[in-house]
Amino acid sequence: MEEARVTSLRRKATNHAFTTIAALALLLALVPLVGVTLYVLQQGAPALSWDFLTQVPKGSDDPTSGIGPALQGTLVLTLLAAAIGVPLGIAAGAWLAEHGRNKWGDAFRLLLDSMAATPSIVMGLFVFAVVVISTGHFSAMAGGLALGLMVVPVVARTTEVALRAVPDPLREAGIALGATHARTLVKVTLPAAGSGIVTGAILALARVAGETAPLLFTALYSAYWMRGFDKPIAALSTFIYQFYRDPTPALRQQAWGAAFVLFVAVFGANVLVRILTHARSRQP
Amino acid sequence: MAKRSEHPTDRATRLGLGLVAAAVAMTVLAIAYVLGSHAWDAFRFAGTSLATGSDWDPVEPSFGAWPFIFGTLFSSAIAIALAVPIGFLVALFLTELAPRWLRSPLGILVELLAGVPSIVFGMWGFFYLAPKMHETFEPWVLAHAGWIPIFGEVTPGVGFLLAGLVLAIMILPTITAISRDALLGVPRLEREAAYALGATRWEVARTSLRSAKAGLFAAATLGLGRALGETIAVTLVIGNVAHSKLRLFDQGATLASTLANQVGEASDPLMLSALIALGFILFLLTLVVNLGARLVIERPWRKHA
Amino acid sequence: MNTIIESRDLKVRFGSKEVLHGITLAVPANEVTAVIGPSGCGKSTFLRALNLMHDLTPTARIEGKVVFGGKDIYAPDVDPVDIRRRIGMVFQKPNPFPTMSIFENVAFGPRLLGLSRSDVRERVEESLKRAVIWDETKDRLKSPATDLSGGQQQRVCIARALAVKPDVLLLDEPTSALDPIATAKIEDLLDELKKDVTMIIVTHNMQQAARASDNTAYFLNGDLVEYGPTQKLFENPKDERTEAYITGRFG
Repeated sequence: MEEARVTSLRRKATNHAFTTIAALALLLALVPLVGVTLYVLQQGAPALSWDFLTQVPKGSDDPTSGIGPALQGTLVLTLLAAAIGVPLGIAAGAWLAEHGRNKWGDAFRLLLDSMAATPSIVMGLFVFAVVVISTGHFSAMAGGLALGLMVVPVVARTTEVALRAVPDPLREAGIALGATHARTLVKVTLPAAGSGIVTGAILALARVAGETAPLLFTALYSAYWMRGFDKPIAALSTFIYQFYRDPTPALRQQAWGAAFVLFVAVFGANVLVRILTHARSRQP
Repeated sequence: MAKRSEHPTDRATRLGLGLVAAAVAMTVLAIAYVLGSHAWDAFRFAGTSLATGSDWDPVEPSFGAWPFIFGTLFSSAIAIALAVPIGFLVALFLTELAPRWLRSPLGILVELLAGVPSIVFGMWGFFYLAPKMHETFEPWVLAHAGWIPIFGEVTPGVGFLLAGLVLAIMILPTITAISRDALLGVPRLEREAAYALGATRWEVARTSLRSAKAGLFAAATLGLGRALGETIAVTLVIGNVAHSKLRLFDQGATLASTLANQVGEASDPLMLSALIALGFILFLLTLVVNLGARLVIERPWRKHA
Repeated sequence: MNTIIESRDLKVRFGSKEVLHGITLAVPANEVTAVIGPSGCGKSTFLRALNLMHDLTPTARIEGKVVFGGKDIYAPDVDPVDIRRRIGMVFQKPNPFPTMSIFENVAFGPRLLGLSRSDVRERVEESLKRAVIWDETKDRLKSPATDLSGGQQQRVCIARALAVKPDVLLLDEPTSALDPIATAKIEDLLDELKKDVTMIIVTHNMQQAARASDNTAYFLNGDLVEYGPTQKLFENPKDERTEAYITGRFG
């Protein structure tokens, strides 16, 4: 009896110890999150102003210098990535969900995962070799393509999961009413999976909006407002990369301002989406 | 009884979707082919010394990428060493040990780490962490344990250790999320049986760890894959000097960071080919690691189901 | 009796397992026919064979015939989409389309048929009235169908099935997920609707079969054991297996 109590005390102590260690690990994991957020907000806030967001970069110390083109560029590139990557991703995901429960589907999933695992700079190099070398110039189109290719595998996977999650009785109801499989897919299954697909797409797009590496070889950089899809284009990420170590303090400050904006946009999108999904999955 | 033929609309949709899927599937193969063929000239020029040589001098020209390969592996190894134990512990905490009402909000917080753009991590590392490493941490370590060779002899702040640290932070959400999935996949019956036998939360967690082994391995390998490919954050904090000794405080360079740095200097075709060769090597590296992880997840899972 | 649909030596296999062993059953028009039997006896399988739902199962193999409108519906040149318009189905758990309003749910079928907007609206109102749920929904047609109670949702599903004006309606345990009051409302419905639409209802509830049907078929282990007018089957079963089931000695 005495022994049992002692062992039980030791086990309780171990339980307590490891729970504490695990909790500390969690706190350790959250420290960088808080640290980065505070640091970026603190460093970048002084640069902000309406001029900053809307004006062209004017080099050096012109106080009306801004990141207008970079903002525009990031938006344009993200939209391009969406236009290219989201429809392809949804189609691929729909194929996987409806026709992919076999060895072809497994092989395709493997290739998709490999595509998702491809480093962003490699994707940029690929588009560089295919588009930039053959057309002879860097372009917004190339940048959008590189980002779009990164979006495809993520959207395909989330689409497949969302479609699979639609309960079969719903599909059967559509078929029983005399709809073809195709009609049921478009009118019943896809809408039912809609929210899952949309959140997956938004998260994927938020991620590529913050990417720098794939743009280095494709969209390059520009100090001007967008001049065409076949010309280089600015972006917040490449702007930061360009100026973060510039000897001129004013330019470094601008890089921080751009980092602030980029962080708020990308991180903010993540926060919104994740909170919304967790809130919805709590509902019955 | 004969099987009825497919409705024409369904047939068209199936083929259409299949075509799109096939095109997407070809992309990975296309990447390998395109990069490989552009890198061919460099490979022919340098032979195996491209991967084993240590002299990277585009002027000579000489293309030895070993220091970059070393840097990629070393920094990723550090990242894994830091992120895997913490990731597993956090996953355990979030699935078994934490009070129920906290699990979801804390989980979201960890996931949010994945929402920070990589260049922002790079800047934080370069402007905030690097000086701290340079002025405080590294001198302190060298003063007390400098005789251990792994630390090296200099204190530049930026270098392998810092890069590994930043990478660890960046891959932590991936490792945690997949580990969490693996732990949640442990059948309820198993855990309930353990509880019913009077086990403490930690003891149940330990048994779950054993059942989820395959998934945890996958989490670590996928984290490794991401670390290998990360470019910008590493470029900013690794120093970009071609060292290849096992010294934590040394500056270094990775395949990805070299690519990022030399993008402006790709003037002559041979140099360009060599840079693409770096990309090709990196691509192969990540492919091998990720396919390895996939193969491990797929099989043991089938055994369970 | 006027047969509207009948199966002739219908066999259904899933993979190598034969689940229905040669069912021959003629269903009279404008009556309610109940299919009863213990779980696993094949009654749902039989029902789904009548509107070609087994096409959705890759391992299903059908032998024999199901004759409807003078033709075997399993003939290769028959269009399943057309069959399913004429033979509708209501499922066990109410399954309105969650992203659509009540109106859109019921309008789904008519829209597939290409009816004009005003015709669709008429059809929706008519169907909701036939399913005796018009009063409860007429002021909230645009609200989500999932806002309704279980019993109301099931009546909307019935309206949705009726909206394509089928000749036959198959109901697969339609009230098993509902409370007694909702169940009673739907049983009343069956009696009204049979004037225009032949009903075939699978139920595990014998009392429901006794109450609400004109004919009853008793299935056991994939065989049709007995089939006949409901009153006769329950009061004076010909087969001792039927008697054992309905007196509760087993099943």
